[in-house]
Amino acid sequence: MKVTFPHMGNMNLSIKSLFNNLGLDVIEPPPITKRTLDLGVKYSPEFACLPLKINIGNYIEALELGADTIIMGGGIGPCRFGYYAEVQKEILNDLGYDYEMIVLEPFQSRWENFIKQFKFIFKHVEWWKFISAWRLAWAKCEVIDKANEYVNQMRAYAIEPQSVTKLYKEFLRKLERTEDKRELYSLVIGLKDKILDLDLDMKRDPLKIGIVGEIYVVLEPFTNLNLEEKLGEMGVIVDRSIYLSDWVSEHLFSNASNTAKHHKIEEAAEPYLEHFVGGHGLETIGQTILYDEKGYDGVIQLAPFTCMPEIVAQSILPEISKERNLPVLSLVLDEHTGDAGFITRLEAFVDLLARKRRDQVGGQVI
Amino acid sequence: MTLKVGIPKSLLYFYYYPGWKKFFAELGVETVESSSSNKAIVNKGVKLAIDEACFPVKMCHGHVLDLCDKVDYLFLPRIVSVENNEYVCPKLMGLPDMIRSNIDNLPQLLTPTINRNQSWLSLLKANLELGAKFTDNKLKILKAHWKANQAFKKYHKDLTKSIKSQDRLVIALLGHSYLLNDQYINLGIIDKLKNLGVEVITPQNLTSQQIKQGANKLSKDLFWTFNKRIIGAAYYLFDRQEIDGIIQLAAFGCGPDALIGELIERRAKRRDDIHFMSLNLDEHSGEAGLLTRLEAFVDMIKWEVKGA
Repeated sequence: MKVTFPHMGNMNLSIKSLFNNLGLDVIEPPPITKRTLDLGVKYSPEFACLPLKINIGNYIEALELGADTIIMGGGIGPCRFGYYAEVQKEILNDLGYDYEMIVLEPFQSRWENFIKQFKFIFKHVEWWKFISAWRLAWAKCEVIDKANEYVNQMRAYAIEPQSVTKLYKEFLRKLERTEDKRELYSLVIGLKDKILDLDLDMKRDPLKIGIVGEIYVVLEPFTNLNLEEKLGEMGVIVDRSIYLSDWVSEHLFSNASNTAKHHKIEEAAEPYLEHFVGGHGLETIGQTILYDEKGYDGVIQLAPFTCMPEIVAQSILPEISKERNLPVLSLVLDEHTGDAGFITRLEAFVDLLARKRRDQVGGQVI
Repeated sequence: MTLKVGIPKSLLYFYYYPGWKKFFAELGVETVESSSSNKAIVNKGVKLAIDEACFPVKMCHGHVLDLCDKVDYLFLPRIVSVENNEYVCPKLMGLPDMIRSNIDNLPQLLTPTINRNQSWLSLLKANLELGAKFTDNKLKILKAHWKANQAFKKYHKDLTKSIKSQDRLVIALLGHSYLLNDQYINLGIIDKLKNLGVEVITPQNLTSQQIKQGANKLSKDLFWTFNKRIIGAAYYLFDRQEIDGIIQLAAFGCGPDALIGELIERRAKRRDDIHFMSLNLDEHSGEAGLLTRLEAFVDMIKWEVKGA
């Protein structure tokens, strides 16, 4: 059994570590490229959302390398992600691939099913081995998110933001090889030290932008054209509202909506959106308002084309923007999104934020 | 002066209107419907809604605007779930919020939340709350609730029929109720097919048992109620040798249809006894082009039947 899985940002690092330590033979799909996207677009329904198409590309490229088992997540709606696997199976079947797809449905749908699927993959694994493998993978996931958060802030202070990105990439490479939890934490500390050794201008007061939206396009730099990096290089502090570690605990254990944090988001969204709409629609609205309260200069919403929850959010965001005087930029991403147009819009947005801030402090605008 | 409640003639109106109208009539409330879909409504809707929204949601914006200065209240229920463990499309769940953000100077909105997942009594609860706005008589509201339910059930029972013809072509027309029943959106496709001598069967013509039978063939239970009806109908009809072709109506930007349509299309294309065509409807659809495609589709099936 050669196992593969779809990409989403840096998720591959944690998943690979988990599966490897469970003794599974893992074939990671090659990094997402233009070819991945083209394959996905070619075989997927036209109006499906972008993640489904890229998933298909990932599967095909992994199957070409010899994978025979695909592990995928499920869901109970109303977001389309919950039905991805069923459609993807049909597409791959029609293409004639010989493979097995295992769909991990969340606990709350049918837990017997979850255990059954789980046992199928991990039939020869002792539970203690599973726990230690899970702990390491989970630690990697959290450590990546922490490092990412730090890097997104420090790019704005660095004289050469590219060197921060370089250090971050080097950190990810080292993390991939690390098999010890304590070593992981020292890796983060090492990254922070190295960044602090760079040429920094801490006297700057950079603009702050919050990123909200649909999780896949927020997490996957290929789809958002390295938005975080681009903004960082323009001297902006970037904060992401969604991290993989949040999503995993939300999706697998579904207790996140009970936590105080989620309650706060719902409360913030209430005046504009009174009900959850699946996916991250409600979070997009709530987090936008929370960013405003935290004094951010602007918010960028990322959504794949035809994403239903984000369309609801996108319809409401202009009103929030008007009432709270908070610039919001909605970027809808699909296979036609091009780098040049994207950069122009980002630059215009950042200019607007800078100008607005100057106006507010009483500076003169020419 | 009696209070007037406006009902936009769009989206789930086409599925629920006999019940909705009965409910308000029993309470003695005057209802005003928006005009049937027309060019002006489309233009207004397309302008108001965001580009990415699906065509029916854009149309709904137009219908709401059409009613705005004619009524005191606007009936825009927030339908989240009407069956256990199922949902409707996220855009319908957030519809009242979208309308509120995109249109200024709205009359007061009546947005009862119907969420079957929370409680099986949620419809009754929503109706009691809604009725309390117009009367203090609880009994009257209960009666209205019951009568509305009857009217709704009768409407759907009357729609069911079985395929009669032996010698005519039978084409299944799949799509949401708001596409099948809105003559303007679907460009009168049902009449056009009838004129071509075709018998048309839609998911509305099947009983819920038949649809359930079809939906049971899905590899995983589908969590969108209305799409489950569509794919259930398709899967039910696949197994019977009664239909010659399937035409799938989908609206531009419909999320669930993108996935469900794909499943139906792939299954249809694997067989050589069922012809398949998919029509995407939006504000640019033209009648002439549609007629040509329908004629070609019907001709193709006729040829095949004769040739065999």
